[in-house]
Amino acid sequence: MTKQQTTLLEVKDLQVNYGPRQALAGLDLNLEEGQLLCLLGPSGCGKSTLLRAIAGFQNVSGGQIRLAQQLLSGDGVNIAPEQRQIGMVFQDIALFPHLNVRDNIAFGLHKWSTKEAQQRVEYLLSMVDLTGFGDRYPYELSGGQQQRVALIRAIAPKGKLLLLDEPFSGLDAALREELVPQIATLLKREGITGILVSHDQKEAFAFADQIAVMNHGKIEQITSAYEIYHKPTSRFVADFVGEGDFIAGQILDNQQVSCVLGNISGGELHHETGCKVDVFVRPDDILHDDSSSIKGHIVSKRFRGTHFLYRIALANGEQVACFADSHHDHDIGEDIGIKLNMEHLLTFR
Amino acid sequence: MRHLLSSSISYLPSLKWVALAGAVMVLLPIVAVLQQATFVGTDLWLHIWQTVLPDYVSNSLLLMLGVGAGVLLVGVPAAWLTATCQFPGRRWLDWALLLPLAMPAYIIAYTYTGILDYAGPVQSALRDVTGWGYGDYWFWQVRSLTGAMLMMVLVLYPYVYLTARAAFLEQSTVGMDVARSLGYGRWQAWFKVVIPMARPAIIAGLTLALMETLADYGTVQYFGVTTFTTGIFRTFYGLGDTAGAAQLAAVLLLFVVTLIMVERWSRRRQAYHVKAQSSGGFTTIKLVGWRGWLASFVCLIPVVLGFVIPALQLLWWTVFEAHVQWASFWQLAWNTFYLSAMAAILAVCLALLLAYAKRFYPQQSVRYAVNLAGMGYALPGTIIAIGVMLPLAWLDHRLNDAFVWLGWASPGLILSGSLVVLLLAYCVRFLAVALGGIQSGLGQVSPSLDESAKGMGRNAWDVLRLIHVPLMRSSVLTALLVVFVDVLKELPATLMLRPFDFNTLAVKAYELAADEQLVEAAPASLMIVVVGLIPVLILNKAINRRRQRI
Repeated sequence: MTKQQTTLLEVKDLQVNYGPRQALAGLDLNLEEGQLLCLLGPSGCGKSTLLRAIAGFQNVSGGQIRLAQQLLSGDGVNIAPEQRQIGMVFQDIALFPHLNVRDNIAFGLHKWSTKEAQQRVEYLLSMVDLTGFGDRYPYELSGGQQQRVALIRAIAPKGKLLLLDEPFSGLDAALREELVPQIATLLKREGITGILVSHDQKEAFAFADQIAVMNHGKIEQITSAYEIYHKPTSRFVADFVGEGDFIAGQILDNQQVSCVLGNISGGELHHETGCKVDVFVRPDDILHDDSSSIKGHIVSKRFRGTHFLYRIALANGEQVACFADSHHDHDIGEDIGIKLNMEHLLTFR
Repeated sequence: MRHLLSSSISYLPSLKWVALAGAVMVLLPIVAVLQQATFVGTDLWLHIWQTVLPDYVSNSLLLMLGVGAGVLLVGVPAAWLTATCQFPGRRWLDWALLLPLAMPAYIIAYTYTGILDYAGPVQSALRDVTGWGYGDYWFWQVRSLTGAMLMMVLVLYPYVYLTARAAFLEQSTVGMDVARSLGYGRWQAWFKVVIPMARPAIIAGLTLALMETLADYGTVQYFGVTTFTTGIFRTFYGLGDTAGAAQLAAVLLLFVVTLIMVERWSRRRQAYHVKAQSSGGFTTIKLVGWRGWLASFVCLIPVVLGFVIPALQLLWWTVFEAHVQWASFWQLAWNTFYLSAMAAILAVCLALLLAYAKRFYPQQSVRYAVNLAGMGYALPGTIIAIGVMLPLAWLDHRLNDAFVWLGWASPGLILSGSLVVLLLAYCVRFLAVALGGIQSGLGQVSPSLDESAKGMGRNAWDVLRLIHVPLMRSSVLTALLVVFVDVLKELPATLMLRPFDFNTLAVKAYELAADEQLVEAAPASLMIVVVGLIPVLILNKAINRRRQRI
């Protein structure tokens, strides 16, 4: 965020209330031009509400939304959705069933000349490998094809911002894995600024430059995928992104913490000495090592092809998860040795 | 793929033939009418062709045009408002808009005539206030072509309302949202997306309303508007010309077939339409302030005009003004009840056989036969009446000939002169209604239920007894009830085919109204309306259940 770039979208202290319920509780967000952001969070965290507020479908109760310095919502201003120049891909794809692919895409080009619109449609179709599909009707397309048409329909009018409201949730896992990076690459290539709403972190990791984890109508943390996973700043983010367990610990000094797994160090700690904390341990932080002095017994196991995921009960009864090599097949109840391999020590009060 | 049950009850191969018989039954009146219509050349027919036919055609077309425009204008906005907006009173207007379904067109016509004619309360009040006398002022004549249009719009718009509302609920507001995110304003989006997406459903409702318009006899006859149905009636009874009537019926049939084709055409791609997977957040548009009240007003007007006012007027006449002779009234009610009940049981039994035939023998021929058997709803009662009367009368004559030849006493018109002909006509007309209910009920009983029961060692009869009977009970009861009420309201076929001196509530109301005894017609009319409310309430319950699932 230190790079010198122009801020495209600016959301300040945004509030949305549904009756007494606060869907957005004073949310701040800045998005630079050309960036792809993913709003990640559990259902009900307000991520879709934020998207709909930016698009103009949701009235705001307080705060402001600005796009390229222009005030869209707030302070008594409420620009109509059709005048915001924001494209949107909807959760249920929502291609118009009565129009063919070409007319669907050209739908938002009603202010363009016919010739320009035609050229734009053909260009967009070629961009998503759908050249020659213009005369088909939506029902004649596969799920992935419909998805791509919905995408280019939304970007056709060259809006300033593209919003994607869980558009991949209706697709099966394999197709999603293929389609999401493709679309991310395409948007990058076209220099489109976009916001994706998702509750699936794999999708978020595959799509976005920046991930904003939301909870209770606020953004808990916004940063890169790597940082979100390895350096979560809150207990919620740590727990929501990836797998992991909290085990009890006590701060020894500004470098070390003691817990059932021994004394661990790794990075600066910002808690007072002697203070009780929870140490966050991810399964990939724990390695299976028979020579280790730390023992635990296996409570359950799951075979995942490339590796085993064991749940291990430690001496004091606390449990952690551990990835083990695909060939290390142990029985439930068996004692195995484990050792820590932690690069980022995470402690929460 | 043959169904699992079929192997066990294949000793009922006749089921397949029942399906074909059902199709033949519905085709019979059409064939009879067309066959009779080919006896051309009677002077009378020439006379009709040259004098009254242009009138019939133009009046029928004008009526369809007026009613069509009217039901769209009333039904579509009401459907969209209640499906996607929030405004004062939406929750109960939602179902109240269905109430006029309980009001047959001829009854609302009698009632408004009573309210609006010279001696009625409106004109009397006008004269009292202004001091005008007879001939001093102009007042809209309800007994006219425009009056007939208006009456039919008031009771037929629910067909459009129902189908359009279902479509609007299904497309939710997402179509509108997409259009707006692509730069269209609210109104533009409404005409570019919302309406075109619902078009197949709207046309389906419109076609139903227009079929009812073509089939109507009571209203146009009472209002003196000469259409095909009144023409057929007059030619058949007044002039005693069967061939002429059949020819008119054949022309009317042409109108009906055109309507069916238009409806089919409009739905040609509907099966493939992408159904919006409802995405949790079904957003509604909040209409506040004057917009909200305007929406309430728009939805309230059809309910008040189409149900509240005529129902209250009927109630008033019945309670305060009519001289009800209870003995004859109950005789009338009983006649109506047992006739309707018999027809309902017959139609539903036949529908059950047809539906099961289609399930067990999913062959093309059976499917066609069952679908054909469901086409009777499109035939106006007058066509069916002539169409069943002709073959049964022919059969009666052959029977009599045979009896005489055998030296026995002639049995008289035991088929065409009895309730048999009436019941057959009802079956043809209302089989579709029964079939629709039964088939959707049977659709809920997934074949895998049968298979899992069989897998647990149950035989075919156990499956029918323990699974189908309990699961099908409510749809069978609903079908019985809906046919019952439809028969109760039916007028033209009953009028043409009833045995001598046999009256029903509908016929009595018609006769009294024809004698200008509108007040005396009220008790019978009110009874029809009240009973007619039952299926409306059931329909409303079914819609609410479906809505909760969305």
